Amino acid sequence: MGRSNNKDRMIRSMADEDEFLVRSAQEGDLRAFEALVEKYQKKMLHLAFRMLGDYEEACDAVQEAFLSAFRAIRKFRGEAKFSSWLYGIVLNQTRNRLRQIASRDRRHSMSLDDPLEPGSGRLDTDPPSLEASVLDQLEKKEIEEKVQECINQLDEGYREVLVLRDILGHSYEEIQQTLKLPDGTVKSRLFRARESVKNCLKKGFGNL
Amino acid sequence: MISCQDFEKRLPAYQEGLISGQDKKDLEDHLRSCESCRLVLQDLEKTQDLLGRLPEVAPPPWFTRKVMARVREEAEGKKGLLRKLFYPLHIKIPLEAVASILVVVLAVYVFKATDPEMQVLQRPSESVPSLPKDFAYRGKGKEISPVPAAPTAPITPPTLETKTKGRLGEEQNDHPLSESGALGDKKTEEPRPSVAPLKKTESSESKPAPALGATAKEKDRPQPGVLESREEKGKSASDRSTVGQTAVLKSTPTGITIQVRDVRESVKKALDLLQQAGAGNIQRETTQEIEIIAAAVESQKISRLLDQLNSLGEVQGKGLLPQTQEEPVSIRIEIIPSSLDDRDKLDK
Repeated sequence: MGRSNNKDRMIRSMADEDEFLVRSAQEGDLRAFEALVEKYQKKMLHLAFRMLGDYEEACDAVQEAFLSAFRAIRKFRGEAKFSSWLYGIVLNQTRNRLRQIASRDRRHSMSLDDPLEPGSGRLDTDPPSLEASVLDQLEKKEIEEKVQECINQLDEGYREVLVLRDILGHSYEEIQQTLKLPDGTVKSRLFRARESVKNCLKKGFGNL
Repeated sequence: MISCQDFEKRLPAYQEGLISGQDKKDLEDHLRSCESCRLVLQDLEKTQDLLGRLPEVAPPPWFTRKVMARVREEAEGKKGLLRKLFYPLHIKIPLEAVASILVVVLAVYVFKATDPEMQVLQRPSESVPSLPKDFAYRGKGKEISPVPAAPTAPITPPTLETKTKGRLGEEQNDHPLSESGALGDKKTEEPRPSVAPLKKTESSESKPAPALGATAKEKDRPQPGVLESREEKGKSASDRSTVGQTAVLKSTPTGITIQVRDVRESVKKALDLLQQAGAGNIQRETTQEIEIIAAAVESQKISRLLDQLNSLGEVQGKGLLPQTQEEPVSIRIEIIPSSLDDRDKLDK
């Protein structure tokens, strides 16, 4: 009970801080905007990187997103949380970049629904082991790469929900605000995305 | 009986704590007995765990500075643009001057381009009496013949003249009738197509009174059947060709010509007849050989008046008199000696 109150107070104080910084930035205070960049850059980069799977692209996307946010900050009226608004901008940037990447690498694109071609891709060159668990034998970095690979194979809409919920740990309400989607759609997309990633990992690792 | 596949579909919701009550109990019972479904649930939990353990990535060094450098660039760019646009007394003064001149030129051009249409719109529409097809319009000393006509057509169109400026001498310009265009040239009897050869035009003009002297401009003076108006001044030729017809007729009195043997006597009779017809604003103008009477007559009495005027001599131009107008009509009667007209005829 006491812990819950402390958490609420912390969230409220963060929101107050955001409100103050946003209002100052809206009045042209660049240092206030810089404080917002400093505060949210890591989370935004985390989201962009998990969405894009490419560090350089993610950095560029976040930089553009902050610039877009600065241009539009006077239009922010505080109906949603500033962080949700900012996450939305970053997701817009990542969507644009995903489309660019997709059109660039159309020939190499792959969907979870597509059957895997024998002899192509890493999944076949690294066949599932019959041993009890491969995960123990793999380096942590390799596991992360494999998971990211599976995320990258999700369609855009599913990927967004999965990253926001399972990686960034957002609440359903926050996700609805950020993506402007109804609760049912968020949940159904999340469950399907998890199922797809699970199947993808099983294909790669055998037993998880 | 619920199959394993159905239970598997419910597992993500169960994992999120979204299933409760009997459904939850059924699912948990099934999980206890079904190893396959239990494994699926474990895989889901493991997947979620793996996703949740993905580490945050660190931003590159100087990332905030890079972002803020672009933000400042943007902010200064905005200010710079505003300054360029609105900073007063900058080097853009010549640009402003050029822009102002352009606006003025454009405004004049637009005004000129729309002027004729505006003039026509300002006048009320009126039914135009039947006109000869081969009349020509006359601008300021310039003849425009929009309707080509067969030169040999011997039809006799009524004469309609409205303007005398520069035709009967300077002193006539001060005449009250000249304001309404009531004073006119002498009329020739025979209609002449607008495309008639210039030679004939000149010979016909040289016959009448010396006041109608043949200067270069007067070569363009109206021929029988020629309709002219001072309002044509400044109008474009294309405008005059169609729209101008209505405007000219509406603003000028209708004219008839009577050829008589004795002009003086006929004028007296004509004045009597006009008075009998209740004509108002009767005015008279005398030149060397031509008498001109202008008056306002009620349209109902016009036909009777014309019949009476027939007794004086041959009347031309009756066809142009409006028949349906209810207001008093301005008419102009020119009484010319028949011998004068004969000379014209011979000349042609």
